[in-house]
Amino acid sequence: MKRPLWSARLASLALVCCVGRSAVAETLPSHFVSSDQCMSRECTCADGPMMEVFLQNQQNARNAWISVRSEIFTATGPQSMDDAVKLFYKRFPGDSRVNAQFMTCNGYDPNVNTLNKIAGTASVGNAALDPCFCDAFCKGIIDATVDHELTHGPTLLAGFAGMLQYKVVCKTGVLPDSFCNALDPAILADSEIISYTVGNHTLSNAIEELRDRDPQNPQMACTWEPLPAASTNQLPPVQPSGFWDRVKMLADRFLYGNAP
Amino acid sequence: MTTISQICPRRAAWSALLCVLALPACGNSNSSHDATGGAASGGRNTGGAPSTAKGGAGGVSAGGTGGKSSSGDFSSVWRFENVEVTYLDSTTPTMPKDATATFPSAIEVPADGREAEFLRQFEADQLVTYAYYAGESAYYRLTETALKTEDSYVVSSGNSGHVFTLEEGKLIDTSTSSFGSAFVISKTTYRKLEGAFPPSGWPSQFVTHAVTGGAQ
Repeated sequence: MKRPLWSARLASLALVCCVGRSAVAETLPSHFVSSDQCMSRECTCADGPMMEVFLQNQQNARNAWISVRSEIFTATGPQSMDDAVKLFYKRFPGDSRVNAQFMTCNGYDPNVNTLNKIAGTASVGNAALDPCFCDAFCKGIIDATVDHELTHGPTLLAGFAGMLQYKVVCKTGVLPDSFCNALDPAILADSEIISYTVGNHTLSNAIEELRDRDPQNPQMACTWEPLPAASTNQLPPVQPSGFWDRVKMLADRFLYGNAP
Repeated sequence: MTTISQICPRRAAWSALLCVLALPACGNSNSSHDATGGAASGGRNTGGAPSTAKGGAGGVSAGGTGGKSSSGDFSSVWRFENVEVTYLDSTTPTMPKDATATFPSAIEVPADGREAEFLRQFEADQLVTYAYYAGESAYYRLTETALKTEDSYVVSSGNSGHVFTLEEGKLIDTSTSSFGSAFVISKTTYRKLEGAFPPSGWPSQFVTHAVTGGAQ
């Protein structure tokens, strides 16, 4: 079934954000299953292109979080976890090809598989996933997502433990709000960066295994052509600040088209 | 009011502190941003609590600062007790801000709104932080590399440096951290956990995680 482009863009954004930010132990949707019940097929050579796209997407997400992290504790940096997430959204458009595959899962229902949440931590040491996600992607991608999720729990706590003395003192009201409010986004961003690092490492290894050996024909190695580039996988253009810069941009668009 | 000089009570701690100040600038190979392998979440362990606090008859302390605890050593399990902080910001002309606070026994974790208990212990050149969410069937055992000196442990993570010393039977963490233009010096006091570890109410299962980069 063909979906409108805007829908795919929106959904891809949501998907990737969720892959990255799930661990905060909110109540998980009831249809989620534990990772050992996540029925994913083993990856084959045919999955190689999507695994590469997924990995690149996750690497982009990690880079976006690193950029968010660099602005925390600056004058204009995020002052809450929500601020940090919003900034992350701005810097990470996501890859529509990942989302397109997610929506191919058996029984995809936009009312159930809302794409604003595909994985999370059910309890200490246990991840839970949307079965649609399990169905749409092969095990290498699922394993990487589980590793990402399981890293969130301890890294959030470790980050919090490292800031504990400041968090407690901030309750006295003596320290500046700008400092106290930046602690939580810093904890979140650090956790995201480490979780992406761990998940990406897992997925990278799975891709390398495929390159070394075709699971269906162990005597052979996998080779593949990359997926066609996604048309939406680019950052939004930056609006020029000065009047003449804007005039020039408009003139360039008129003369050369929409491409930057 | 606490002053900076009061925060670092021992000469040994000062020299170690100077050492720690230099650590972040020297490049922390454990930086989470650069890690390729990153942190490693271990599987769930059953039973076999990591260590048992020695001595200490009597019940488990219930948090707060009340009560006198027995003397501990680095291998003891420690509970956060209180903290003194001096905050400086190079962009504001105001005087340094000093503040003190007492740790509650459980603290709300902002990421999920649940309360967690935190304990610490040194074990085989590692700083181990135990973190437990009430009601969970396992607790986290978070490990960080610690450098042992003659009478202290030094832990460096991100933009923070910590020197842990023992004073009058208590564990003292003197730390320095930079946050953009801000510079924060803190002295955290821990009291020994009385009774066995894990404390009453904690499960026996735990998940080990090696911390490869600190928050800031």
